[in-house]
Amino acid sequence: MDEALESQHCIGGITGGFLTIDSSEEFEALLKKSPDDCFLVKAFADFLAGRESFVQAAQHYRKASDLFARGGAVLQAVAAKVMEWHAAGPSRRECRDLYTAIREVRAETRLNDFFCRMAYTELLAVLANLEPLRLPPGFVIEDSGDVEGFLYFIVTGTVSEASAADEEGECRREFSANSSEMNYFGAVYPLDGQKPVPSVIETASSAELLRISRPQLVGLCEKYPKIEILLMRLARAHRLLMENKASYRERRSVRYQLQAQVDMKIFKNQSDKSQLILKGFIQDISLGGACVTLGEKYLTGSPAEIIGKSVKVLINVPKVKIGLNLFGTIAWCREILRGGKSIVIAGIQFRDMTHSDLTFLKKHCYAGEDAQDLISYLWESLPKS
Amino acid sequence: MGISSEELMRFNAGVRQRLEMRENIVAASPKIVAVGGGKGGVGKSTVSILLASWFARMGKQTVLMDADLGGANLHTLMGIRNPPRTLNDFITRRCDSLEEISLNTVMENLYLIAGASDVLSLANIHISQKAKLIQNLARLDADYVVLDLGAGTSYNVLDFFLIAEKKVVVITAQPTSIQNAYAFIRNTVYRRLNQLASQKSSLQAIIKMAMDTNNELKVRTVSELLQIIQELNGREAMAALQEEIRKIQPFIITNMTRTNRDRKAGGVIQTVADKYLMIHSMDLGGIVYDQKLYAMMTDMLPLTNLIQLSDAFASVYGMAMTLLRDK
Repeated sequence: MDEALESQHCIGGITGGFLTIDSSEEFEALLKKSPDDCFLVKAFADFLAGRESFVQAAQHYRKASDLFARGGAVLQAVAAKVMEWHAAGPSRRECRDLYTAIREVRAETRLNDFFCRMAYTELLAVLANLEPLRLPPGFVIEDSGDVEGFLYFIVTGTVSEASAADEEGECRREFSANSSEMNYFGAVYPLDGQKPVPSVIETASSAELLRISRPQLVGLCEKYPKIEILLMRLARAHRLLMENKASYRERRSVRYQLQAQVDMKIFKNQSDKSQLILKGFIQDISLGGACVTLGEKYLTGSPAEIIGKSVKVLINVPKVKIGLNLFGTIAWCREILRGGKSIVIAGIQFRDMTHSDLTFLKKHCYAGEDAQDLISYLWESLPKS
Repeated sequence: MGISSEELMRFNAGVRQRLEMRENIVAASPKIVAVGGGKGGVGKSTVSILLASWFARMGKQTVLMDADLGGANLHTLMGIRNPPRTLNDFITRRCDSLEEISLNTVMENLYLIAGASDVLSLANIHISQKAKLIQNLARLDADYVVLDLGAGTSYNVLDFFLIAEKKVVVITAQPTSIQNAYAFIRNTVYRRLNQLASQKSSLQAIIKMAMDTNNELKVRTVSELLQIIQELNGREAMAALQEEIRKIQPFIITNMTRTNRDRKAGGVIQTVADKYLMIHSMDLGGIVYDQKLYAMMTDMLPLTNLIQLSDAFASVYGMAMTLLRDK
């Protein structure tokens, strides 16, 4: 077998937990071949910590943390740093390195958001309170009826959750270190609540977790109000994810956050040539259709009256003389309250949108978050003639 | 010694009379229309004069006040070179009421309170003086007070804008003007939120954080901010703030329009303010570019001399009517 491939197999085996190395020399030999393999460096640090070579273990945890952070694996970087502190005591300077590294991470997961948006002192305080856990498969972390007392982060492995109803053969929910969204659990927010755990949560494989208790979080939030905001956002994302999982329907096509002003010509019926002309604004679009927020000039009639009607949508595109014309049908239309005011939104199902149309829109439409940019974009999209 | 029943009746009657008088005063308070917009040179003073002139022509007692505390020149546009009394006389207590410094104009029903641009103390008005000025505005014997605000988004400008029942934002059809006007509305919203949160330091901290457009929490919109406030301070706190934001319903006027495209500039602010600030503004349309008007300004002739043949003046009619009708 090719030597490099063999060493990769070894590393996979060690980090996967089904291959054990029991000498420093073997680890060092592998590390010579793959010095920047973050999982291998961490495995060696674990090995050294098991041998009570804490100073060396701390050095390797530090290196692993740095490698994980540079690779964008924020939670793993944090976990390695916590392990380093457990091996050799906290070091403020070293945390500053981690802080600087993870702030560079741009991956927009909620968990990254939680750690990467903390100020230095906040991150330091959170890290000092995180407790590492190594658990075997089948270990019950929380039993049904326990009080939700901890927030858990899954560093490696998988954790499964089964509610009483689920045990009768229904689906089980899984949290995993490999998931970008389902890699934490524990409904500790709001912090003043005392909610019972509704299900049994146990490890489905060997797992490494970090946890922090509710009282510790209360103390942190009192001292650092921003941590509470981050925690609240983390909890909300989790709640929404759980709700969405329940009623999840896969979309046929990807939606793009493209914003554009549109003019809609609604054809009343085939015999009647008269048209209703409305102006609106789309915020996202897919090959299948778009949701249009109608402007305030939509005044007459019930929204239901235009459902099912054919529509010609002109998407105004900046710096292009004629925008993109698409034909479709109004699939739904309803009034909603936004900011205490009633507005009308309509869902358009396109009949003839092609991939090249979408590419054209992606090239020319605005997809950012900044208000000032949106102003420039909208201004440019106003028809010049 | 106790009070006799006769004395008590007299006392109660006196209290009732005073209360009635106070209610009458409140009921008679003028409606304040503030004209702002952030950017200098967009024509805030011109629009103020045109609006005030229409109010006066419609028989409303109207006071036009130069609230550009650092750079007053409304009187020049009204054909008055050296106003005999200015806002400075009121601020420095040479005059006790705003009525005393109101000047007659050539137009019936229209009065002017001139500012003074060369007075340093006026440009940097103290908070107590600002409070006194605001209180006295409400006591003016008029139907409408039109405030011509200065450029920029200083607290003085925003506070005068916020006290107005009708808030008019003037823009020109240029991206820079639209951007400034949006920033002006955004600062108005956050100034109001700050005022409301003044008693709660935790709330103030969140609002302060959200005011920074590059904040670490990535709060980009007022709706996101309110969501956080709801989670941290409860639904009631959030709803109260939302209701206050709802009350800031600016009217957008695009000045000096030449093309159809120019007239749609207000729509851009409408869209962006709705998306980011939860502000539902009303686009009042455009005032056409009018060469006659600019010739009069150059010749230092009072703009109130404009006759109905002026295109600019004519295009303000509908706007003035909308402002008068709007509850």
